Amino acid sequence: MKGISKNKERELLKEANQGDEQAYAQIYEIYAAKLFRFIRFKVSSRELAEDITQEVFFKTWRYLIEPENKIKNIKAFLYRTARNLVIDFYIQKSKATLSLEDDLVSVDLTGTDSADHKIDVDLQINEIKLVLKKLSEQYQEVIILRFLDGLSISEISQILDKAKNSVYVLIHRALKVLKKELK
Amino acid sequence: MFNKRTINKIKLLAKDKELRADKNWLKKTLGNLRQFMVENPGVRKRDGKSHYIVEKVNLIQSNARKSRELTLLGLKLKPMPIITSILIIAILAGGGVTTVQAQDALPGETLYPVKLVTEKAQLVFSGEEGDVKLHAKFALRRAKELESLTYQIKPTETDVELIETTATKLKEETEFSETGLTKLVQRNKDITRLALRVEEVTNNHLQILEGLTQKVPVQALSTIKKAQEASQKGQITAMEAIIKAGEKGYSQEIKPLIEERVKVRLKQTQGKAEIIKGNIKFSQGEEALEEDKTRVSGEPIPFAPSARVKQADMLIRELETSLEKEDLSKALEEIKNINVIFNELETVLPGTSSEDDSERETNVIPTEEVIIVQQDRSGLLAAECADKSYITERADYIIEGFVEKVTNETAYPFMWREGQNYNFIYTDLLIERYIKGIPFGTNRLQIVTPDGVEDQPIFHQGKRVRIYFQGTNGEYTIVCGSFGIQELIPYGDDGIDVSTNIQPGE
Repeated sequence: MKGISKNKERELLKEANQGDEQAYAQIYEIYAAKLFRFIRFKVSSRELAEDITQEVFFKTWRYLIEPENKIKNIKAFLYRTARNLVIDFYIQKSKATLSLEDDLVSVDLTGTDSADHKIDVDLQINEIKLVLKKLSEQYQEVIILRFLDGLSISEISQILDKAKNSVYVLIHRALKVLKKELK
Repeated sequence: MFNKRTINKIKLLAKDKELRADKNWLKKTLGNLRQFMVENPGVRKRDGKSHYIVEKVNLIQSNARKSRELTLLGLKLKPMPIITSILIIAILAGGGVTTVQAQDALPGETLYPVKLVTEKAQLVFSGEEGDVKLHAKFALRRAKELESLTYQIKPTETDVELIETTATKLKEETEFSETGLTKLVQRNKDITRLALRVEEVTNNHLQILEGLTQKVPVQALSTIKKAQEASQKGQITAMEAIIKAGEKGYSQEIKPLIEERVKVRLKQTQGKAEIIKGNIKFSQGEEALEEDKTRVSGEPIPFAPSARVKQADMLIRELETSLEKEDLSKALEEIKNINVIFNELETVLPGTSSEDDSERETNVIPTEEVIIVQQDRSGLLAAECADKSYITERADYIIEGFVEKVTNETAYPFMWREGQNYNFIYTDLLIERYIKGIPFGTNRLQIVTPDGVEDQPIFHQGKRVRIYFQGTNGEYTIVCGSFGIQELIPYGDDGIDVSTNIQPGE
């Protein structure tokens, strides 16, 4: 499902807060793919990313159906839950760092002449992924949230539980490092 | 701009197959989600709340108080304001939809009063034990409402008022629950399960409150602290009730529940002790923990935080032993005493709140990035800025530290105004001393100031400075710009720190 207007999103969230399953299913259709991508960056396998993505939606529903609970920004809530679930997974597995695995990097060089452009794009994609891998987890996160998932500074500050000014500074530093590495 | 190429490269990742979710998987997961929602339907969809009230109406409550009885449908109801009785009648007559919708209302919203009246209606029909449980449950609701209020809002005066009112209601609910429980204990009723439930619910909302003390506006802090004290007292009362019940021995059904509770509390106290030790080390130095002010057992121990922490450590070791020996009454007594020590320490030590998620690692000092960002010139030219006492009064923090590094960089244009480059000066400061304010979980902070703007503070590498800054919720600015910093002359032979207000350029 493509992006929707803010009003429509607000309406859906209001209904979902009241326990409307259909509204929540629509929210899933809007955000599932983006969340999967966000999580896929952080974990070592596709299957794990799929499991965690599913758990994000299950957990959010469990939260929504409690009478005392209400979500004001569903996007921030989902991303934050996703982040926490990934952290919980690694705490359980006693892993100290999050990393992009090499299985994320793949290049199909078997194209014909007419696919040269596609190969070029693939190469650029792999380049950026390898470089992102070198950044710290925080820098990776803010770059993905801001420039890939298009979240606002306010939403990112809610997800990361940081002040907006701190988010600005993080993004600035992350871009600086990324630019240097890409050179 | 120069970063556009980099950003465009990042956006290419949207085309990456590896990062794209499989369509079949998306469809399958949606199916799973629908199934999950069927198995866990939203409470609002059920007739849960009104069904509960109708059930209670069918019971004759033998515990209803005698004075000023209101009779409805042949049932004796507790004394209540007229408005409550009218609303109860309205609810029974089919006002269920509004009351169900009101359950997620927050303080300040239109349906919030309906939520509160619904709670009162539940109390009307409950017995004494039910009252205790309900008041504890309502206290937890107030805590969650406080969490929502603090998470979502920028603190205007109205918002502060809402937080204070909600915190006061939380305190009242906790006190009602505690009073009710005490009365039942005095009557020698077997209320072990009830006390366990109350202890758990109170612990949950205490953890929420502990997390809030670092986030609420300063004006509301004292009300939150009062709610916290009432909750701590309530938890101790519940513990004492469980301990008292253990005097006759615990039943086979209850024993495993208590054992489980003790294990959880043991883990929490261990984590909390580490945090408190970390905060003492940070605010008073490593040597503060090594001072030995403890005395021979039996003698009163002077109130030195380090001594109290040692006492807590000792109790934790004894708690571990009691648990091994399955002496649950003793274990609970030790937990109670440890909580008393922690409660005392929280009132004198800054930043001793534990994480509100007890499953996370709590044995490290939480680290944070503290950045003070000076924006434009607003507020710099207030006449009062020349008055030192004004600056001291306005500041939430007064810190002394060493300027480690000063660098000049061109910032990404979105930081202040779109499309324009700004040079910024980044100053890294090593914190040496707090004169005012709750210590951060880090001993470094960074100050970001726009270059070439009048009246902004200027820092020199290698100097010691005192800075006065203000802020809440992680956003800070220096009070009165350049007036808000002082370069400190190094210690003289007599060790006295002589400070002077050196203006930039002098």
